[in-house]
Amino acid sequence: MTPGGATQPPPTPGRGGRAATLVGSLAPWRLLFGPVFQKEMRVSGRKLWTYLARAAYALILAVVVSLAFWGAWQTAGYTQSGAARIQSLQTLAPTVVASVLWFQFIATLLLAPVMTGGAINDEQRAQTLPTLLTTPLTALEIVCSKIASRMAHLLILALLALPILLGVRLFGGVRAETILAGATLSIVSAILAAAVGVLCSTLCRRATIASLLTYVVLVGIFMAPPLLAMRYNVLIEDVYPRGVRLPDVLGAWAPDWPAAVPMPAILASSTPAALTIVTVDPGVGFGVRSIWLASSVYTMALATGATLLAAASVRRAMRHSMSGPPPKRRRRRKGANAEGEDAQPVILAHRRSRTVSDHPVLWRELRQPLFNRKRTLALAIVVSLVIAALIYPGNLRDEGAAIVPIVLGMMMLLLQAALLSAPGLAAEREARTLDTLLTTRLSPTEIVWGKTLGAIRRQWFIPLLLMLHAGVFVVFGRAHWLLLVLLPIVMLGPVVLLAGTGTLFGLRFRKPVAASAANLALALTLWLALPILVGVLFGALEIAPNEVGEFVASVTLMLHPVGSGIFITDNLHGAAGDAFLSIEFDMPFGDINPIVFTMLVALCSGAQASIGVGATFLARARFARDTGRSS
Amino acid sequence: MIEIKGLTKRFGALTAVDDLSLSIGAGEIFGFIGPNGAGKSTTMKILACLLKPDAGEASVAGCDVRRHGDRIRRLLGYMPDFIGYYDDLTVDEYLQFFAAAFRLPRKTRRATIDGVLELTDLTDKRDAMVASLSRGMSQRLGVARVLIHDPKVLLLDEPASGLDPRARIEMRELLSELARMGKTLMVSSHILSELAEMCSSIGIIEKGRLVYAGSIDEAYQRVKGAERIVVRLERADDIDLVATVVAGKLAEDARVASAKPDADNPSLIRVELEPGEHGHHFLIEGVVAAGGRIAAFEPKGVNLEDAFLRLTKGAVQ
Repeated sequence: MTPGGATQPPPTPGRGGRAATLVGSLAPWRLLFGPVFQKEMRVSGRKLWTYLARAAYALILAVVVSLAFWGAWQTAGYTQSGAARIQSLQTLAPTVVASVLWFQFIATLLLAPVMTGGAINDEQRAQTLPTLLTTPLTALEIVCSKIASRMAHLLILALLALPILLGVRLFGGVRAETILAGATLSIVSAILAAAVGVLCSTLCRRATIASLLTYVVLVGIFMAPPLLAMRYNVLIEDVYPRGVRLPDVLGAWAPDWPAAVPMPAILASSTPAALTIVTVDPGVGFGVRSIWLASSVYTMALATGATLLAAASVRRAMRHSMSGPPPKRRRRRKGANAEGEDAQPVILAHRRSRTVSDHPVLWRELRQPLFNRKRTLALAIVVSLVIAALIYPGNLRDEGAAIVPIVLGMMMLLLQAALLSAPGLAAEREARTLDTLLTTRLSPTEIVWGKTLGAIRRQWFIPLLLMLHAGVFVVFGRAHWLLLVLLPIVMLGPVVLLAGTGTLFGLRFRKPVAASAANLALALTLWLALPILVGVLFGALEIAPNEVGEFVASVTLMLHPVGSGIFITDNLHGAAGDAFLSIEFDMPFGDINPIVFTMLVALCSGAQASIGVGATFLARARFARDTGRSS
Repeated sequence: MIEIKGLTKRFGALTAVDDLSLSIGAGEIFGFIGPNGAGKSTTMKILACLLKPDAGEASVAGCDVRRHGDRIRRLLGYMPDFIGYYDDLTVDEYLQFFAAAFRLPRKTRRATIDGVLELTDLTDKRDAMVASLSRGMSQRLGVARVLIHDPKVLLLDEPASGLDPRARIEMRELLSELARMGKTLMVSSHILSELAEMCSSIGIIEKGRLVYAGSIDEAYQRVKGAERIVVRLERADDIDLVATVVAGKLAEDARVASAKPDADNPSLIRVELEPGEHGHHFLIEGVVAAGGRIAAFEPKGVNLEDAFLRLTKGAVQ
């Protein structure tokens, strides 16, 4: 205060001062390791789960390495003798390195969206974001620190594999560049996943929805280039070194310039494709180094873009918190005068009330939308139509065009079922509505089953897309109608299973995102780790082909929604005109007719669904015990 | 209506409620007072069958909280301190939801909802989204929810928390109306002046232990000695002289506990009397005899805040 009582305004920085401030705010140390980073690390450092997760990762990594090592050793030991066996051991190191690199790549990619899904929206829900925004921290600093704190955990996980990767080099046959390239691709992919995760966290209100959207975006980013290449039959042998010429791809629609998209660029634009090149190293004539370096730079550019978009989104949220929602979300009240109070725009906060049924939890859960906003649904429909436009025209005869969307759809269905089913009761607890619910006379059965059935219903979108996809092939006479019967049966089992286990995890875990992560881990164990384990064990022991091997292979196939989807589509594509009973399904133990096959599919799906039902009953019993309520 | 005997609840090493005994009669408005973390909410959650006690007994209308949870849920409405709302529903749907959850017959639901909406003055907001309600309206909706099954007992944990003065007055009127309807209310609040106006009895809890339970008048009696008198002098220069005389000379009468000049206002002196009934004339005579000229003489009665401060030590867990 001055003697006169007037407040002295702070001095306005000059042009040079502003530039220095800007440069200072962009300093990497400040952007990445500011107070938000330190707070996040402190908080996660206090949690037991952080260390348990690291221990679990190390354990799974050890299992992967052991299996890869054992598999390669057994193959060398059983098939060859003496000197040949020693010589074949040289292939051991590349096998182990490839296994570790792929495990690391997949694990960090799967973990990053779960870790970042709640980065911003959890702050918004806890009403701590406005507090952060009152500090001198910029939106970019907040976003970068959030990404950096998650990346710090992922880097620790990545470092766990480093001694193994370096140690395996003693066997020979692995270049240091392979390890460097694989690790770099894993890390840049994780950074991209974290950046997209934080971006989605600014756009979605719930962490699990943000995580799911992140997976969708990542699948789009990573799968689009190779799928487009496949769509236009771009094969490495055909196009290198000429490249894919745009006129070849787009025909009459091609722009009138001699642009060419070389194959290395297609590979570099997808880190999984680049990692495939790095680990397989096919020696197709172009530099592996250029691919992984270009892929890393390209992925980092995408991550930077996502980070900037996330920062812009946080800035937008900051502006809204200061000045209210944007004008386009306001609408004039019907019949309002042009002037006076009635002319004021009002927030749309009214809706015609519906009649609630006698089972209120189920009633509400069945009305929970998958897409909170109509424009999100519209966007999903537009994206689906674009994909359809790329896949279908002129390609209905192509089996790949039928199978690839089934594979992607089934994978997304599993991710969706794992992530969307789990929050249920944990979200009620987090929103502080569970106590209110528990003061009512609702029975545990009504509450728990209401949650499970609601979770199943919310997953309508991807099954609908898959059915439409199958319908296109059936309607145009390219696939048998049985496809439309078998696909829903295949989808039902895993969805019910994950809905049931999700409800159970939602009861067990305090945070919805932890429940979702546990359900996702279960899904990955059931449909990724176990089939790989079975494959490695039976491959290494050379049990197959024999009766036991055939049986195990059949059961593994039938219980796997992606495998079943591929198998069914493969058998029914091109069989549109066949009589029902003339169709044969080529199972590992022999051909079977469609009636027996349908019963087998229903049996396997039913088995999975019954696990889900059992998990729901278990959740109900636990809920009743915890809350001291009778049914 | 509510009986609690030796109730104890521990969370690990922390004893949230420690051997608490309490009795609240039918139709009473019981004010539950205590510092933050004293154990008020834990006690209410035990009564609402949301927590199991580790020791002791608690019953509502003769129903034991351990064994008759379902019966108690029919009799009791509980409004927690932090209420979560289903913000994807309208006010009407929200109340329908809880009407169905309390198994109200379909035929009577509409009339019941209309009644509680009117009582809580939310009829105009029937089709408003819950998310769009102001804090005061949300609290009123919380009260409407607990009334939906016409409970005999209401447990309201900080119902006026975060409300502006007008909304607080409206809430107080609403609770008084509920008391007139014959309901037994157990209300916790930090706004002691409001509790003093509407409660028939109070309980003061500190560190999980009940330090006082009874009527407000009894509480005042217990801390009667806290009567204070504010004397304003015409000349501020006289203050030290008068304070010394009052504190020294009149202390011989054993009626004055303390006499201190006000730190902020140099012409004020605050006098605190010893417990018991005292006339004030001796004080006026003493001040005048010491040469002071009295501009104002203002006896301050004991209020609930005084009682609370006297009966508790300000300790939290």
